[in-house]
Amino acid sequence: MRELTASRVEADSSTIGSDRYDRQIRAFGKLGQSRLRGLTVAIVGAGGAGSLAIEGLAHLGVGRLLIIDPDRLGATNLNRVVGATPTDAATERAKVDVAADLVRRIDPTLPVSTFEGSVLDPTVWWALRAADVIVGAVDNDAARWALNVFAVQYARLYLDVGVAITPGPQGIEVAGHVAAVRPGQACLRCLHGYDSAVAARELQPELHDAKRAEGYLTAVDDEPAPSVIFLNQAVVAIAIAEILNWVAPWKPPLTYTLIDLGRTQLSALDADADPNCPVCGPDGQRGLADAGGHPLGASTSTPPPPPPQIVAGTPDEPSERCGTHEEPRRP
Amino acid sequence: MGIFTTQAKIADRHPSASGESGGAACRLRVPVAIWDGLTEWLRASEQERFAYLLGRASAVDDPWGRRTVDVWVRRAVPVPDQALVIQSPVRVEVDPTFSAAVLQACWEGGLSLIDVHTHPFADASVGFSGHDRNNMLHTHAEFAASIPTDPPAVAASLVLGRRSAAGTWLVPGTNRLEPLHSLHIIGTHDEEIPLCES
Repeated sequence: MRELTASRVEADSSTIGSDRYDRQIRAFGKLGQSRLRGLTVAIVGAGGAGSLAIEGLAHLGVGRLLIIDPDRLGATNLNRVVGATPTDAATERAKVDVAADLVRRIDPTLPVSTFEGSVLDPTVWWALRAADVIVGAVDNDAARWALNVFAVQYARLYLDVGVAITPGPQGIEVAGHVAAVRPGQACLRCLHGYDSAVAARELQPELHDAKRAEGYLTAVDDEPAPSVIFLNQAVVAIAIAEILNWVAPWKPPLTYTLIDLGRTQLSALDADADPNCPVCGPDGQRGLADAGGHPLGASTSTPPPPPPQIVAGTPDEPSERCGTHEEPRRP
Repeated sequence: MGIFTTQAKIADRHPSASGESGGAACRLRVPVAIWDGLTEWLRASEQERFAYLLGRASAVDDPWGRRTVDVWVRRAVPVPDQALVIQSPVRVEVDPTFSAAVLQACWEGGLSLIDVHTHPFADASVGFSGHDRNNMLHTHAEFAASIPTDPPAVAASLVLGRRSAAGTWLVPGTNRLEPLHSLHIIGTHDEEIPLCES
């Protein structure tokens, strides 16, 4: 894994004073634009949906972008990865590099940092701490699991986007979702945003192979999923609106949104946190910050960057309520 | 939550970018469920009141060379008026046995500590007094000397006017108080409370 820094030019308030954001400021005010400029957003996954999120956030005027993806571009990405060219595909450029170029073209002053690696890599996972908001545009449940643990542990807004094109009774179903995990509220697991069993299988490839050998998985399970840009656009639009709404409220927040393009339908759903959730419940990681360590137990082997002094799991605290003392931690 | 119409402004740039705080910035984030109840209680009296916020800290160097300590508050400990050895409209002092118990809780839990008090006489603008500063230097140094730094833990202070707030923290490894970079109230939205220059 390597880190590439696309730009170190500091963003400053003079950009906000220019005409660049005039039409947005007319809608959401200078304060809203200033709050956006203060945000560092991490986009995990720079493929079809992720590249659209990156493009949208660069136009919107967030302060910094952290782009993470382990993959390289191929010809099959050209139908939907924004900014990708046939040359990029032919040379198998890193998706994060393509994304950084895209940002540079939109706003050369926008600081971008890229990681060509997986969020399951402890170094990348720790790097997410620099972000205020996480957009997960990933295609596997292990990554969703890791991002969900991060969001719960560090109390960050995490937006998971997903799309699916599947055979339906009347043709194909073209649908997607945006799940919002907010500090102190239901986590992605509580929202049924990923399948823990699938995540566990993805974390242990040998288990995956064993299941295939036993006939529990078919070749179809490993087939690439169909994908089109217009579905990604619809889903990412909802996610970007939710980021703006986080710092410049203009509508009721959404928790889980289903986007059904076949029926031209949006459905807003809500859910309570599972009180026994192993991620956000009393025995979970909620709010532990650096004291929680890495979910794969890599806190000691791969420490975060300085100033570390960061290891060791500690017991959780009780609920976030105004009150007096809790049971003290055992020394 | 209060309405803030102060001379304070929301920071639009990271302080460490200009080298303040020796390159470190401290951001405080408080769940709205804690903040609303606590500030309502604190501001309900014509006398100064006092409370503690306890939170988990994370320290990160980002890819752009900025060092940030983020404190996510987990609970509040309002100090009952009976536990104050001095309480007046212009002064407040906590019974040392009470503050010692709070410090012990921080030590046991590896928690950061933010003391909060009110200036009922301040309205749209508020700041720390010279007495406050001397007191903070003493108590924050005591915190730094007694609390292990693994996981990271810092000491900070907030002072609340009727419609205003100011904040400061002790930069780890120094005896220097610096302004908090920002104060965020987190619920369904992230609301940044403007901080007066402290």
